[in-house]
Order: sequence, then C-alpha cells, then structure tokens
Amino acid sequence: MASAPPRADEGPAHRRVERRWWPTLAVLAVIVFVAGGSRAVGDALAGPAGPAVEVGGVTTVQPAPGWAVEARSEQAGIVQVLLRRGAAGLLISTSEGFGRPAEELREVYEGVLQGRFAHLTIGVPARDDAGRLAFGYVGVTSDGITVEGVAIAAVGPSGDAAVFDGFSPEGDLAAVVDDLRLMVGTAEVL
Amino acid sequence: MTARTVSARLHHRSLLQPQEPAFWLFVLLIVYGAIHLADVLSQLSAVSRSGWALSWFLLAIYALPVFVLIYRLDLYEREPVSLALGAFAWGALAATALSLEAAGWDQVMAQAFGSDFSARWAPAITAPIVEETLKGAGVVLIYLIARDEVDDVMDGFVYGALCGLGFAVVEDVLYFMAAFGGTPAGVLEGFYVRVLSSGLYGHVLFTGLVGMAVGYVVTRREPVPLERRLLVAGGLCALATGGHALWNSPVLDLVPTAPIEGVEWLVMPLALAVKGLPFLLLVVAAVRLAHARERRWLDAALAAEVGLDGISVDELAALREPARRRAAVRAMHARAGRRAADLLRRLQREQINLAMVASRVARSDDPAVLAQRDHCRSLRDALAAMPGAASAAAGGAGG
Repeated sequence: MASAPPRADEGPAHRRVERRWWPTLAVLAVIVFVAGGSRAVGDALAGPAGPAVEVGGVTTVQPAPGWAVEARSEQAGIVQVLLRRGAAGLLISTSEGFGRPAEELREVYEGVLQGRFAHLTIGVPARDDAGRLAFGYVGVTSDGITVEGVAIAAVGPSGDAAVFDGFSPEGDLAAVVDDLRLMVGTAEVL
Repeated sequence: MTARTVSARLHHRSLLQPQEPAFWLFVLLIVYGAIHLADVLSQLSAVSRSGWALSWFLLAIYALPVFVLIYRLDLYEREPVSLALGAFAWGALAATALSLEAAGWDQVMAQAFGSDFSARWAPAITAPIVEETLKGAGVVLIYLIARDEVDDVMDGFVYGALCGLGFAVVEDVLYFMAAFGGTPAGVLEGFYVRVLSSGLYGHVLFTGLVGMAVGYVVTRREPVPLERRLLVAGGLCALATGGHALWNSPVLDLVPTAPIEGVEWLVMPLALAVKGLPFLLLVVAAVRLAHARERRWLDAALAAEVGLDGISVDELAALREPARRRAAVRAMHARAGRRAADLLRRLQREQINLAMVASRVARSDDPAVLAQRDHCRSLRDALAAMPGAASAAAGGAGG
C-alpha cells in the first residue's frame, strides 16, 4: 500500500494544523478591497466638491465630490451643462418657458436619445414624489459602446423644464448612482 | 472499525459547518448579495412581468443541465450537493452583488486614463480581475469550510465552474431586462446572443480555471513545493483572467452591432466562436488532463488491492471509466432488476471508497482497509446471490 500515491488531503496522521481564522480574514480583506476599495480610491483621486453649478437660470446643481463641469453649451434656447466623474456623466439640459407637462418633456428627450444612439432601449417611466418622470435606458453607440443611463424629466411651477441625464458605460452606473441621486435630488427646478 | 465508519470519515461534509469562520463569512455575503440583488432585480421586474418570467424560465432550461454536467465531471467522487449548491449560490448572489459594488474601479480607471479609453477598455481590464477574484473567493471559502472535499484539481474546477454558472445566470437576467429591454422579444434576443450563441464560453470556463488553481495549490502539497504550486496557480488565474479580458475586449470583435438583422443572426454564433472556441478547447484539454490524473490516482491506489477481496481486475477496468460503469449498471438492471442495479452501483461506490481509504493509510493491513475490503466483498456476495445477477456480474462490475 505504501506505493499508492497520497491523496492530496492526506491521512489524519499527516494532517496539518488547520488555520481557521487567518485564511478567512485574508479572504475577507481581499473582498473588501476589491468590492469596496474602488469608492475609497476614487474619492481620494477626486478631490473636494466644486461650487454649485447654475444651468440656464432654471436649476442649480451641487456637484458631488469628484464631479466637475466638462462642457457648457447653448443652442436654440436649450442650455446644457455636462458634469463628469471619470467615464460617468450627468448632462443637464434646460429650457425656459417649456410650459408643457413632464410627460411631453420625456417624449421630447426620448427623441434626443434616439438620435444619439444607433440602438436604444428605453424602460418604463416612473413618476417620483416630486412629480418628475424618470426612465432608464440602454443605448449602443455607432462604434459599439454600450451606455446605460437614467433620465429624469422635470417641469417647474413656472413652466421651465430640465432634464437630468445620468449615464455611464455599461455596468458602471451602480458605482455613481448615489452621487446622481444626491445631485439630482437636491436640484430644484424653478 | 466498520465500513460505515470508514465511509463516514471519507465524506461527505456538508456546507453547514458552523464551527468554521469561513462558513459564517460565506453565509453573510450570500445573504448580503440576496438582499442587494432583490432590490435591483425587483426594479427590473417592473419593466415587464412576462419578460421577467421568461428570463428565469429560459435560464433554468440552460442552467439545470449545465449544472448536472459540471457536477458529473468529477469521475470518482461527486461533491456534496450542499457544497455544489453553495458554490452556485455564491456565484449567483454574493459574487454578482459584490461585483456591482466594485464597478467604481472603472471610474478610477477613467480618472486615471480618461473617459474614452475607460469606456472602451474598462470591461476588458477591470471586470475580469474584479469578477474572477470575487468568484474565486467563493471557491477558497468552500475549501476553508470543507477542506476534505477539495481533494483534487478537478474538485476545484467543479466548484469554480458552478460559481461561474451562478454568476452567469444572474448576470444574464440583468442583461435581458436592461440591455435587451426586458420585453419578451428582447429577452428572446438576449437568450439567443448570450446563451445560445455564447453559452459554452464565459464565466463557467473562466472560474473553472480559477477553481483549478485553488485546487492545485491546496491538494498538491506533498509532491510540489509551494513556490511551484503558486506559479502554476498564478498561470491558471492569469489564463482565466486573460480569456475573460479577451472576451470582453473590442479586439477580434466581429459581432454585428445592434440592431441585428437578417443573416447577421446566423453570423453571431460564428463571430462569438472566434474568441470563445479556442478558450473552450483549452479548458476541455485541461479537464481531460485532470481526468487522466484522477485515473492514474485510482490505478495506483487500487494496484495492491486488485485480486484481493475488494476488487477484481475486470471490476477495476469498469470502475475507471464512468461510461463503462454506467453500462454495467444498465446491464445489471436489464438482467436482474432495479435492486441488483442499485446494489452494483453501491459496490462501485464502495470500491472507490476503498481506493480513498487505501491511499490514506500507510499499510495494506490497516484496519480501515481491511474493513472496507470486507465490505466490498460482502456487497459482491449479496449481488451474486440475487437471481440473474451472477451472470451479469460475471464479467466484473463492468458487465
């Protein structure tokens, strides 16, 4: 029998002293670093939050830490500001005197998205407590990059309109959803 | 020492090992994953109830046979069902939810290299490392929970592949309901693209290799020095991560872009095979090597037993080939009925236990070996006494 090769786990006589805690804690440390470390490293790279950003006199957004204005534009009465954090973005579009319900604003913006992507899938819209209409979407650009996003259409009491479009490359939206919620949630449409 | 005691000592430890710290970490993270995913999935289910139900139905049709196939890959010692299900649950719940948390690495990459580069390359750079690490952590925890049950490279592959299968199922549901729109038509399109066209590649293969790496490190202690084991395991993990990276990368991306129309539906599986098939063949080769090693182990472990009471030459010939083992059981069933077939199956199982006992002791007259040998002989005697069974068994267990 001695010629038989040892099964890898060996007999009780040869069994090593099994360490229980250290390997488990090591696995936990790896999981915490991989799953949670990105937020800590990202925040460290991001620096402090910038000043509040006013968009077209319709709304004001306070960027979360790490978010900064990348572009501003104004065309045909539509003012746009693009905030960026890494590959994620928040595009805020405003229009004074829109004067129609949020449902119509949503339809208009769906048309904008249709033009932006080669292929677009739009989720079922839902109305939040503030009466804003939110809908998710997944778009594929003409060069094959998949983008996922959440757009929120809001019309203020004065009839001014704003669309908050938070987006990121596929799979990354979860990493910035808290930031988006904070920035959009505190932005009031006049 | 009785054969029953021997068998109980050999296996099978269940997942439920509250004395092991790893068990509690395993359970805690699965519960965390279940809660986290319940929130995400319930929001997606609102998109389309029928699409939601169709997603799970289609994925069940895919996952069940694949689960059984993976489970049966181990030639001689099937893993405890609770551990196999635990590996699946880890991949489906814990690893998936933790990977969602880790999406911030793409943001870090974008901050470091720019958003355009990140949008194109992050899925190929961060996702494979994050996902293979988190799925592989499940295999390590399973080993820490039931060390006796990971006793070969093939065991590692089985647990790793099951983790990968669980991950793939939940990820597919997320894709069907989000990227493919969630409607029944979208779900069917997603099923065609992600399962029918590419279901043979992907997470099952990648994490199977990671599991092999874990299995290699923890089971080859005596013959292989630690440095070499780590080197081989590192190579296997690099291969898994590299394969995953290539799969996610824009390199060799021949897949038609959406919307897919006409002949593009037929091109899709071929385009995906360009990246997936070589890796599939490589993993098949690795599994065959692991099977060959299992056979060598069985031959060596039973070399001194052949011809004694425990096992005959013919029985060993049948035992080492699963197809011949099953054929022998079928032949026994045809000739002598179900009870005889069950008894033959039990004899085969106890002969594998004999190999395990024999390989774990230093002497061939160890009481455990003698008890197991005697147990096999009694089973064979009982089988021979059954009407019709003797002739079927005449050629040994192989029939």
